[in-house]
Amino acid sequence: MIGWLQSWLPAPASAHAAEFDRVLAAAHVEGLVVFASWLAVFVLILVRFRARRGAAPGTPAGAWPLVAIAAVVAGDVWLLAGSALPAWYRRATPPPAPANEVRVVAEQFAWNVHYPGPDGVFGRTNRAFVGAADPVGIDRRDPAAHDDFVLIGVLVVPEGRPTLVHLSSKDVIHGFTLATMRVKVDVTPGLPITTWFTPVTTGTWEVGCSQLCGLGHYRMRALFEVRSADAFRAFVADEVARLEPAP
Amino acid sequence: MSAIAVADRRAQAASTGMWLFLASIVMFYGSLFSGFVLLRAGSETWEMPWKTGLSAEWPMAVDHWFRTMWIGFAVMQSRRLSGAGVPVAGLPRYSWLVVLAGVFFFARCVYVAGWLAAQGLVPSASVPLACWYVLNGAVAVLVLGGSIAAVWVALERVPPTQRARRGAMLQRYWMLMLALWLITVTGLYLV
Amino acid sequence: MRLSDHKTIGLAYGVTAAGFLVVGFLLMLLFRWQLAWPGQPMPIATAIFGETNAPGGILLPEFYYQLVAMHGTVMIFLAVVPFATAGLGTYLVPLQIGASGLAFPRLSLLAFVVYAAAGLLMVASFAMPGGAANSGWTSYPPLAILASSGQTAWLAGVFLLGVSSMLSAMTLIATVVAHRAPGLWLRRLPFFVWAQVVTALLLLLAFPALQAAAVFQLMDRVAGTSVFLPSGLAVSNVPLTVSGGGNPLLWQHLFWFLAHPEVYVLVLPAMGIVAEVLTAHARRNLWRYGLMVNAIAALGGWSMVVWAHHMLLTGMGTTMSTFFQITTVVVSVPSVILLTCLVVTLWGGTIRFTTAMCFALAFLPMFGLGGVTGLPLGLAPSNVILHDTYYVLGHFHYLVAPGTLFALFAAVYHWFPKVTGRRLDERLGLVHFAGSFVTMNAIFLPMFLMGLVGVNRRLYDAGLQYELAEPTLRWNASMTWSAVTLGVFQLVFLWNVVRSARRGEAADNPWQATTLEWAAPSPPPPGNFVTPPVVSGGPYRYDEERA
Repeated sequence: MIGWLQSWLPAPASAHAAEFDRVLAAAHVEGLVVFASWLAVFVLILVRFRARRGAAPGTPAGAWPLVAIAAVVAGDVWLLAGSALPAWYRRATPPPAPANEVRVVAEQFAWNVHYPGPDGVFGRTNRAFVGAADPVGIDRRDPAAHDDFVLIGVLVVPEGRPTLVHLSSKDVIHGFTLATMRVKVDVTPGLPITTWFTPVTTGTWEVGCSQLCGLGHYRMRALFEVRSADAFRAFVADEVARLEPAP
Repeated sequence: MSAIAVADRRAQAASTGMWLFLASIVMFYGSLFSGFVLLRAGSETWEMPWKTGLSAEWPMAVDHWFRTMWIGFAVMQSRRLSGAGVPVAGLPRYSWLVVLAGVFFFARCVYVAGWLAAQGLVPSASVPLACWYVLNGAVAVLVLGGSIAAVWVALERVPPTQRARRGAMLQRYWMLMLALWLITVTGLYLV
Repeated sequence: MRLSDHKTIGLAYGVTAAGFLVVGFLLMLLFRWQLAWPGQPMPIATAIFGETNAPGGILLPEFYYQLVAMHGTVMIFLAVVPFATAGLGTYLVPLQIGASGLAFPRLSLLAFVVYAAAGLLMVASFAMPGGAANSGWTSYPPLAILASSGQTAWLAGVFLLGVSSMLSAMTLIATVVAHRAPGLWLRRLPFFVWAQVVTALLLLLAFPALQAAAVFQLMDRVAGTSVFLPSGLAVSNVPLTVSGGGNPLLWQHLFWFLAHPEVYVLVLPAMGIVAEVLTAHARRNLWRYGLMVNAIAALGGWSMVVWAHHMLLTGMGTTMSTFFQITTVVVSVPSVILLTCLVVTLWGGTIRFTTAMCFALAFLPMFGLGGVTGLPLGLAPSNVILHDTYYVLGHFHYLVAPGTLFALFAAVYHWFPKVTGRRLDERLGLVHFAGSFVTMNAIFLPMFLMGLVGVNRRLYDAGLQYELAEPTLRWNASMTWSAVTLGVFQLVFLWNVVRSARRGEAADNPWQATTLEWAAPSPPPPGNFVTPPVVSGGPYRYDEERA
C-alpha cells in the first residue's frame, strides 16, 4: 500500500521528502483502515438487515461502536502528535549553515531567480533598474552586486547542501512549488517568505505555481535543476563570466 | 390555541429574531473591526491625520461628544418608548425623537467625512483612512437603519402592549449602536 | 397559494436552486471540455459565447477562468446551500415541528427575493465587459482586485446573499424556538430540525465575516483603497497607483472564517436528511439521538475555529499552524461520531432499498471518502504535497457532490409525496441512482491520483505544460465523458419529476414515517395541519412498532 502510494508521488529528492511522504502514507493507511473496516461493517449491515419476508426484527446495537469511535480518535491523535507535528517542527527550524541562498521574485507569469554569485551576498535591488533583461532590478553600483546574476525561469541549486530561498512577489499571490523537494509555499506580495530544502539527488524538474495568479497561471512554470556541487560551482562561474563588466 | 398563547409565541419569536439579528450585526462589525486591528497591528506606522495637527482645525473631542450624545439620546427615548415595561398612551412621539437623533448622527458622520475628503483625506489616501471611513460608515449606516426602524414603530397602528415590546427591541438595537460607536471611537481615536 | 406561505417559499427556493444547479453543471461541462481536449475547438461555442470568449470554438483562458470561478460560486452559494438550508428548511421545518407557518413569513419571502436577485446579478455578470468574476470562488486579492468588473458584481452578490441567508436563518431559528407544537420539547425534535438549526446559526454568525471582507474588497476595487494591497505592487513592472500598506492575508482570514463553516453548512443539512431517510426506510430509531445532537452542535461550533487550515502554506508560524492542525483533527471527532451513529442506526433494522434509501445510504461512504481524504490535507507535512492539487478537488467534491447532492436527491425522493401527494417512479429512480453513483465516482476518483502525482488545480490546459502531469492527461477525457453521462442520468430524474408530479402513484405517507410532517395531509393545505398536533413522544417510533 505504502509502496503503491509512493509510486504515484513525484520522486522524493530532498532530505525531508521521505519523512513528509511517511506522514502522507500514515494518513492514508489510517484513512484506508478506518474506511475499509467501516465499509465492511456497512455492507454487512446492509446484507444482514435487508428487508425480507419474515425477517425477525433485530435488537439495536450495543456500545461497541463507541469503542470504534474511540479507536479512530486515538489513531488521529497518534497521527498528529506522533507523525505530522514532529515532521513539521523539524522543518520549522532554520537550515543548518552554511546554506546556498537564492532569491526568487515571482510575477505574472514567471519565476525570476536572483543568484548572489560566488560572494554569497545579494546586491541591492531597485525598481528603477528593472528591464527586460533584468526583471529583478539589480543595482550594479552596489559592490555586492558585481557578481550577482539573474535568470528568468531557471532555478539551479547544488546537491547535498541546504538551499535557502527568499521569496517575494511583485504583483499577486503565487504558489512556489518544487514537487520533488516536497516544497510548497504561498508567495504573498508584501510578506517576507523563506523556505529551504536540501536536495539529495541531482536531476532536472519543474518549478510550479500552485496559486491561481491570473490568466497565464497554467503556464507559470520554470526549470528546476539540482547539480552536483562541482557542476553548480561551474554553473555559477560560467554565469558570472557572462556578466558585462560594471560601467 | 388561545389568543394569548398566540401573542406569547409571537413575542417570543420576535425577541429571538432580534437577538439573532443583533448577533449577526456583532459578527459583521466585529469582522470589520478585527480587520482594522489586524491591519493596524501589522503595519509599522499608523498615521491618522489628526495626530499630525489636524485636530486643531477640527474640534474632535466636541464632535465625538456630540455624536455619542445623539446615540445616547436615542437609547433613552427608545427606553421611554418601551414604557420601561408599563405601556403608556401617546408613545409615538418618543419614536420620532429616536428617528431625529439617528438622522442627526448620520448627518454629522456625512458632514465629517465630507470635510475630511475636502482636505484631500479620502479613503484611498492611506489604509488608516480607509479603516476610518469603513468603520464610521458602517456605524452610520447601522444607525440610520435604527432610525428607519423607529419610523416604522411610530407609524404602525398596534395596541400599546405590542408597541411597548417593539420599543424594547428598538432599545436593544440602539444600545448595541452605542456600544459599537464607543468601540469605534476607542479604536480609531483613543488607542 | 399564498406568497408568504412557507411551502410556497420553500418550493420557490427549491426550484430556483435547482435551476442554478443546472447552470453550475453546464459551466462545468464547458470547462471539462477544455480539460479533456485542451485547445480543441468546441462545436458551436463561438456562436453561443461570442468571438471574445471562444474564437474559432476554442475556449480562451479569459473565459475558462470565469467558468471555473462561477462554477464554484454558483454551486456553493446559489445551488446547494440555498436548496439544503432555505429550501428544505423553509418547507419542512414548520411541518416537522407541527407549526402552521413561519415566525416571520414576510422576512422569509424577502430573503428569497434577495437571494434570487443576487443570483441573477452574479450569473448576468457574464455579460459585463471582461465577463464574470475570474479569480476563483475564493477571490484572493490582489488578483481579485485587479480583475475585471465582474468581480464587483460577485462581491455585491455575495453581500446580498449574506443578507438573504441572515434573514432566512433568523426566521428558521425563531420558528423552531417559538412555534413548536405543544409537547414538542427540544429533545423530541427530529434530527433534521437540529441540523437545520445548527446550520442556520452557522450562516448567521459566519456569513457576516465574508460580508465584511466583501465591503473591504469593494472599497479596494471601487474607492481605490489598499486594505488588501501591500506597498510596492507592480503589474507587468508598472507600479500600481495606490497607497499600499494593506495585507492580502486579511482577506483569506475573513474569507475562510466564513468559508470553512460554509463547508459544514453544506454538510450538516445532508446529515439531517440522511437521518430522516435512514430511520424511516430501515424502521429503526436513531442510534444515540442525544449523542448525535451534541455531536452536530459541537461540529457546528468547532467549525468556526479551524479556518486557517486552508492557509497552512501562507508562511504562518508554527504555533499558529499547530493550533489549527489540532483544531482540525478535533473537528473530525464529531464527524466520525455522526457517521458511526448513522450506520449503527441500521443495525437490527429492516432495510428497504427504495431510491431515497439508496441515495441516503450512498451518502455515507461518499461522505466517508471525502472525510478520510481530509486527514492528509489537514496535516501540514502532507498538505505540502497535496495543497492546491487535484487531491483537494477530489476531497471536497466527494463531500459535496456525491455527498451532499446524494442526500439532496434522497430528500427529493423521500419528501416528494409530501409536497405533491404522489410518489416518484421507483424504477426510473433506481436507474437515476445507479447511473449517478457510477459516473460521480468515475469523475472524482481519478482526482485523488492526479493530486498525488502533483497536478495543480486551476490549470487551463489540465497540466499540459507540466512534465509531471503527462501520465494523467489522458484520464481527463473519460472524466469528461462521465460528466456528460451524469448529465444524461439527470434527464431521467427530470423526466421522473415532471411525469410523477402529474401522474405518479398517489400516496399520502408511503414510507409510514412517524415524524410530524407526515401527520399533515399530502400536499399540506394552507395552515398545514387539519387538527393542530399535540406531541407525546420522540420523533421516531419505529422500534416501538416491533414490540
